[in-house]
Amino acid sequence: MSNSSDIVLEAKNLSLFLRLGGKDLKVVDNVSFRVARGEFFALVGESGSGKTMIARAIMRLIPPSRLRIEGSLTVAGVDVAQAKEDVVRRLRGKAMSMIFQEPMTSLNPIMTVEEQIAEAISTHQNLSTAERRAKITQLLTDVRFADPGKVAGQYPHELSGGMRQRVMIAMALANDPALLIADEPTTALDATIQQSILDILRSLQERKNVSVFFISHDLALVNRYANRIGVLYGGVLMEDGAADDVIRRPAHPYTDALLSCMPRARLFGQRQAGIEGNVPRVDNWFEGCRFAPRCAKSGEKCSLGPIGVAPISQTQSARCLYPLR
Amino acid sequence: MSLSAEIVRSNQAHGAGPLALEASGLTKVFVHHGSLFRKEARTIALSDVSLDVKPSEILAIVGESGSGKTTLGRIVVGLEQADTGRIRAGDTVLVDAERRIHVPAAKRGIGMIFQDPNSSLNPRMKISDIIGEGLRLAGFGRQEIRERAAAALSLVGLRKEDLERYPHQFSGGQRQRIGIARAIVLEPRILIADEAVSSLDVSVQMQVLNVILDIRDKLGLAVIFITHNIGVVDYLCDRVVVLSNGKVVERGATREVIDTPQHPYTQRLLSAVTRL
Repeated sequence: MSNSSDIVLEAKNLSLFLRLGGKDLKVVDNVSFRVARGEFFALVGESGSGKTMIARAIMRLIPPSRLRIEGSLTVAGVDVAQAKEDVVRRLRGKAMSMIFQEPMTSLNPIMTVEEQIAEAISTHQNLSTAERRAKITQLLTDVRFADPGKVAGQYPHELSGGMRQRVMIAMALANDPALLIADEPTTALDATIQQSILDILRSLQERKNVSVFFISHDLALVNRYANRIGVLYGGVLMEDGAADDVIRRPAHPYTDALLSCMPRARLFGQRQAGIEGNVPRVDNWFEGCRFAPRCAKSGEKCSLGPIGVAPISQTQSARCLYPLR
Repeated sequence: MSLSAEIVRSNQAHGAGPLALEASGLTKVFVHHGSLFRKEARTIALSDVSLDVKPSEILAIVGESGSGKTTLGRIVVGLEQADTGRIRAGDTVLVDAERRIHVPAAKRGIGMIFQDPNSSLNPRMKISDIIGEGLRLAGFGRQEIRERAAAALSLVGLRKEDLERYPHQFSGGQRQRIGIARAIVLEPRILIADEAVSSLDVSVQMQVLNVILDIRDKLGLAVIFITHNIGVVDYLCDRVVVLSNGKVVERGATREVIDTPQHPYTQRLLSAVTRL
């Protein structure tokens, strides 16, 4: 296992609260996880599970006046839950950076690709014009543009969705961050483009030792790329483990149920059961396991109070009183 | 028909029998008008597309964004007019572009389910009005509207009491059930679903897929299911039509197309699918 200096991102008993007119709404509930250097960690969850909130908390994109952070959230040795704004600003782009679902809304429509990447570079580095040019060419080559010179001079509207997302990745990597946060970067893209973006992320992870914190709602997709998977439901990290274990030998009944929801061929016309009920709304959370009302394994104890973490193996754990293994 | 560009499977899953819907030679070109700064441009959205679907059959239309699958659905349901081609439902001509026949959408006997239930249900209307609107326009009386709306709701697994509620009081999956109830309340013979489960949570998606199977079984509807999700096609659909750049590149029984895709585009599409 990795020692602590290899940990790029660590959340310890992290809870997040949205401040809504005097009342705090809990959106993430006592989550702990670690992401090692060069690791591809996928956080999977359905809508309202809190996955985007965690990503935004790591980058501190929501000001403390709007989002209260409890517990610790350490990036490159700095606790961003406590750090002052100017400290966080120095980390953004340099220690950590982020790509989003819809690249068009993150790119400036009246700046060329080159100008935008140059801006990202000059925030943290003092390079000569020639050095900056070379760096931009290198970044665009890293995200597999065959003709970086041409793309550099283009505007976002001239690019396809997949190309825009690649430009975003190039910008995010402009200052060689240790951590890249990707919030559903391929959800709006076609399957073939999605695959090429993920191939790029994985090759950057392997070649440059970048840690990827990848948020998705698609277990099947992340199974192909992640080293580790965390499964979030109702703000709680239900299960956390090596990708193969979580997919092939899930410990939490929710993970198992989610896998059984993936539609596949109906042999002899039989149907898949799916999961009855609905995802709990964030303003309607209750104590105890939030999956219990939909869970086939649940017992009386499940709804009494918070569920502790049960270690399943050295690398896998689940918050469940009746884990499947 | 450009047969060379199209791989037609001889042993299609369906035998002879009456068709619920038959479309042939559909073409649609969108013209983007020019301006001082821009030349006029043409986009060929559909080019000589044909398809047919039998009662109780679920036909998938798959393709990536820009392949023309949504345009195809909109032409069949009557929200868009084809430039060329014919559509028939049984003996009734719905579209004959050459003869300038385009039967209005409301008179085609085709129901439609949209992608996003949040934006396709009017937030200020009660469920009874959302489902009953079509019945009202068709001239049904109040009592009959209530009865039929309640029956449609029960077919999709919701209760009569839900008629008095508003869309925001339901979850995403329930809202899509309401969208399905609205689509079937006028007893159409054909149902078109455009990415009907794509915006739903994975744990809820299966419930809605099963509702579609239920109403197909109970009402004997022909369903045209437009999607990019191969897993859903595998689960739900009997036959598949693969669209690429507005052309049909492959068609056949679901099992065959997924197991032994013939066209390079289909092969590429399937290789990008992550399966467990």
